[in-house]
Amino acid sequence: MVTTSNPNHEDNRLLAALPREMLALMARDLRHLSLSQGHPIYEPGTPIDDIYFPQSGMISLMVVVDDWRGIEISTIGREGAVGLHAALGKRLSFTRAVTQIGGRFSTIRTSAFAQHAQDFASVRELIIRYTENLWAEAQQLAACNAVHDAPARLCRWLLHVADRIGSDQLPLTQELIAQMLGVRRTTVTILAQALQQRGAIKYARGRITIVDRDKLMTCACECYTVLTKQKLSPVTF
Amino acid sequence: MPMYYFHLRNQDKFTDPDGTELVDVEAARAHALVVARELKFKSDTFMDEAWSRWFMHVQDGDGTELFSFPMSDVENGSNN
Repeated sequence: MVTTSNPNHEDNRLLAALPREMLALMARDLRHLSLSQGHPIYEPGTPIDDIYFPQSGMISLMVVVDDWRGIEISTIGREGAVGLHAALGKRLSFTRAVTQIGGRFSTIRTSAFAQHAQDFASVRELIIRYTENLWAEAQQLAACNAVHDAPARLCRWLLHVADRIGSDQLPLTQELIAQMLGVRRTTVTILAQALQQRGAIKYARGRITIVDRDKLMTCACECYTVLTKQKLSPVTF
Repeated sequence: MPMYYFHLRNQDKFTDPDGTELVDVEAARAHALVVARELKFKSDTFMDEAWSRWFMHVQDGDGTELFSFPMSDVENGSNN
C-alpha cells in the first residue's frame, strides 16, 4: 500500500480535496517542481502535456491580443490547477500560461492524470467542478474588465493574488501588474502611490505589501467578493 | 528615445519616478491622455476629490515641465 501522500502535494487545495486514498495512489505520478517567475508553461495552440498544481507560486493565463499584448484572464494559485481539462481528452492550450510568481508546483503528465480520470469518478468530478469554476470566473472578469475602473480592478487583483499565494507580500513589478490589467505602467505607478497614501498597501521596487485588507476591499469592485465565494468554495465529494 | 515623466497633482503629488521612453512630445501627449482616461474612467473623484482639482503634469528628462492639463478636460475613458 502506498503510504500517506507527500504533504507538499496537499498544499494545493484541489489535490487536498481528493479522497485521501486517491491522492496516495496519484502520488506516484506526481512530481515536485520549483519554477521561477516568468517560466513559460503553455503557448497558445501547443499541446497540454503536463498539468500544474501550484503549491505556493502563481500562474497567469493570458490571451494574446494585437500579436504581442498578453492580457490576463485568470490567476491560478494553490486553490487551482492549470491544464486540468486536458485529462478529459487531448487538448491544445487556448491561452498562454506563465508563472507570474515563482514557487513550488506539483505536476503530473496529462496522460497519467487522464488514466486516473478514466478510472475514478472522484477525479472526473474534480475536473468538471473546477472547469465550471474557471468558466464562471472568466464570465465575471469579462464583465469586470468592461465596466469597472482601473483603481477598482487593481485592488481586486491584488487581493486575489494575495489569496492565490497565501501571502500579503506580493513579489510583483508595476510593469507586470500593468500588463496583467491591460493599463499603462504610469497608471499603476500613480494608483500604487494613492493606495499607499490611503494606508492600504506599501510598495517598493518589485514588491507590494498589503497592509490593510479592509481598506483594499473598500476600493475593490464587488467582483472580488463574488469570485472569492465562487473560487474558494471547496470541492468536496 | 527621450524619457517623459507623468505626475498627477493637486495638494497631493503622485509622481512618476521611472518615466516612460517615447519618441517625441506628441507621443508623450498621447500617453498622458491614455493614462488620464485610465485613471478617470467613469469616476467623478480621485482620493475623494473632484477631478477638476487634479492636474496632469508632464516633464522631460531634465525635469523641465513640457505641458499640463486639468484632468476635468479629459473626457471619461474606457478600459484599454
